Amino acid sequence: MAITLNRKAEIISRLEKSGNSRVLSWEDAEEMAAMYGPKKQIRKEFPPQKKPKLRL
Amino acid sequence: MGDILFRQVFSTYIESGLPLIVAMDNGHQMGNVGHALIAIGRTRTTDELIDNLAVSEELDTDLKSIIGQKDIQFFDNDDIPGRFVFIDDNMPPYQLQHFETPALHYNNPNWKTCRISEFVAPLHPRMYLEAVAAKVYIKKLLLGGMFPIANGTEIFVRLFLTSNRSYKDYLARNVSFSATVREFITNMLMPEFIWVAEISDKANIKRRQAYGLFILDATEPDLNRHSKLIFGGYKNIFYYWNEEKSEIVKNYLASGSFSIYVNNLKGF
Repeated sequence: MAITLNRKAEIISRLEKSGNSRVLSWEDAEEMAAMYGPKKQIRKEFPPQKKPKLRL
Repeated sequence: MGDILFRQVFSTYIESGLPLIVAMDNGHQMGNVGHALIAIGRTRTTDELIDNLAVSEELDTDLKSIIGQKDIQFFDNDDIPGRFVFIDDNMPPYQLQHFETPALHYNNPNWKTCRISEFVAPLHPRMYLEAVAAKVYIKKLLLGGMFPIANGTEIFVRLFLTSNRSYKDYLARNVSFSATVREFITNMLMPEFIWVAEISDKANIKRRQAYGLFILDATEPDLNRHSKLIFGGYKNIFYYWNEEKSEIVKNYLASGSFSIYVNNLKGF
């Protein structure tokens, strides 16, 4: 028999109690998201390759 | 897609340990030679190659501006001018050639001049996040003011794809990693495939050490959401995406330096 112990919650709790963890505000998260730009913009900058023209 | 970016993406997938189907031709010389071959790896990354690595030419306008303003020396592992390992059915296996001259081992001058025109990376059908988008996201997160990066900092980035299980296996055995951060990451829920970026500088990467780590969900189709960010840490700050509450959390905890991942391809 094996058991798995997960200490992730404990680590987060410890960080929160010591003031070393905070949730980013909606505005902060939105600002980050805005910086990366929509998918369309990335697609425009890096368009997919054209269909290969192989001559085998 | 520019030639630089094309080569970088090729290198990223090779660094991920994936065999690539490569199409080469001499169409740029109005020739009629065309051939398909396989690329399966690269030669050892030597200290000399790292020393001689030039600053990466940034193509993204936002990033170029940030790098210029902060005078950041940005180096990309995918710019290392090493040779790749090709399997060509016309030749003995394991031909070592540069990306720019994949057919230099041919005697025929028409073939010698062939260049790589296309390549196909065999990915799982649910891997929606491509190398280009993953790298742009990581660079913007790293350089966009979320982390304390001083002016004139030297940054070396190494991006690759791996599986959740392989990476956690490496982490669990990697005692060089901060114990708390290592435990935190190994306990995180992750998809089957992840993009990993290790952040270092030239001196540390030669010692096979890094001090920044980004892990992205390679199966995330929505480029606009932070849900693809599993873990993003550099020096004493790390961010993670809280899936349950759909929020991004900033934490202050030093990751320290750690040994880089070499399970995709040996010989870094």
